Amino acid sequence: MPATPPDRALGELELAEAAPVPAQRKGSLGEALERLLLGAASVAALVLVWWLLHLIFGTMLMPDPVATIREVLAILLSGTFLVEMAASLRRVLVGFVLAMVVSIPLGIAMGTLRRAEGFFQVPMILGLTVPGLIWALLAIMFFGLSEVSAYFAVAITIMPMLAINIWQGAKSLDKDLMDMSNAFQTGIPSKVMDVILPQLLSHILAATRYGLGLAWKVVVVVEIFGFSSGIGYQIMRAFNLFSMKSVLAWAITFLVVMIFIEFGVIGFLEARATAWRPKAEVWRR
Amino acid sequence: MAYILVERVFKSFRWPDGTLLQVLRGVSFETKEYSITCLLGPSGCGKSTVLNIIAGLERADGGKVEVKGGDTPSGGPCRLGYVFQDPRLLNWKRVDENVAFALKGMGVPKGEWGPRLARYLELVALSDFRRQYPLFLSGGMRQRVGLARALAVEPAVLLMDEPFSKLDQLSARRLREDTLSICRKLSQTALLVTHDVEEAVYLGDRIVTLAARPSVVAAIYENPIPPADRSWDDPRFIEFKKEVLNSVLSVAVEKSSA
Repeated sequence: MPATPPDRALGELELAEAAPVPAQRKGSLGEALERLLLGAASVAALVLVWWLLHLIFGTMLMPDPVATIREVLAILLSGTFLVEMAASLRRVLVGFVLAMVVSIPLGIAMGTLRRAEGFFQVPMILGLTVPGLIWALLAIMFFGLSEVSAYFAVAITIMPMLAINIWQGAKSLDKDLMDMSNAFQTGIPSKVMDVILPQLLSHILAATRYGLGLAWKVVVVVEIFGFSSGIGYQIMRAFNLFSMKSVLAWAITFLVVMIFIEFGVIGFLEARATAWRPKAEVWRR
Repeated sequence: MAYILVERVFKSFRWPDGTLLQVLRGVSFETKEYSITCLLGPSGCGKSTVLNIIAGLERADGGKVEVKGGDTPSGGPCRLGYVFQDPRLLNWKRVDENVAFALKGMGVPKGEWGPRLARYLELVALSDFRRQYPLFLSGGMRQRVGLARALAVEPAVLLMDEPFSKLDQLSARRLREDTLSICRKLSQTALLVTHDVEEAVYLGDRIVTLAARPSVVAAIYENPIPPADRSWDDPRFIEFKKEVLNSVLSVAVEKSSA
């Protein structure tokens, strides 16, 4: 039988094995650059296709990309842009927050209580299939041309999608951690905040991505129906003037804002929210 | 005085197909105060079930479980600290936040958290790692976090459910030695569930062996070797280990031939 190594050696061995390796990959700057270049290349490809279409169909149907970008700049510099953008963004965000406030408890209930799942499953899946256009029509007929109908249409269109995402996440909540928190007599608020929500965070962030995208689609529809503010209204106006250039330009301004939210805000939240997880991306090429 | 009394506890589980599986058939034993009691038995014999019933995570079908804590000034139910087989940490919280999570659950006043975190993380030798996230630590260190979390609530009885069985051999041996010395230092009453005879003989001042399912207590041993003298290659230690092992084996054989 081999001699037992002295204690200290054992201790060092354990520590050496345990030395926390903050998964800093080398060349992360080079990688960021590569990512940026790939993104730029995909935008360039898009503009190239656009330009070819312009050559084929002519300025009336497909305006010159450069002229359109100039129009975008003109819109951005005009005083109305901020007002219109603020109106649309407010409708998106209020509707989104309303939907999220309902979806989180509903999704958790569906994932953890068999009866809640049985009861809500059908309406959620039905709700997922109802087009935003129908909700927009119903909302305007019901609430008239008020902000409430925009909030309502956005919230109810995206709610099933958010709830289904969170429901799926809640189904895989770790029972062992629930037992652990019961063993330490954790109260319900702490169980929700410290144990349940952190496990659902990646699902909530994914739902946020889809949800914001969907919310914007609904908002434009609602605004086109007869609001007198917002990006959708401006697109409708451009449509009435049959100015393809302005339709595209207004749409692009919103795309830019949404891309900022996606990569800036959500990306930042995601990076912060997953700091506890070692990066395991070695397998990706 | 702090102890656990388990008296004629029965427990059955129902399979999804409706058949009934009796796991515990009148288990009775008592822990030894200020020392470690080991509950030893083959896997699947219901050891962990006993622990879960004591911790209130499962309900017994019949019998009595009594947990008495020496000094709970509030007079409320006394505290139990639970160390699980997997560390069961909140991976999104730092080491010290994981320990604080248990303090919050157990209603320890916030003012006491600081000193307790410092004290118990020091005891398990994790002071330098208190701001790390668990997934950046080794398995052995994560299990130490679990131990610190259970100790920090200053439990009347420390419950441990095969806490070393998923570790590599070296980490497990080291953690067993540390657990023994920490429990002695704190005069901690503890109940450890294990299927490892050597571990039971090394850690247990009292060893309760369970027969195979449906379980009853097969034998209760008092460890003749004082904790300070226990070492892996001491002849007395090996002798006692053989005695316990034989009894566990004979029970298992009787069962399988019956």
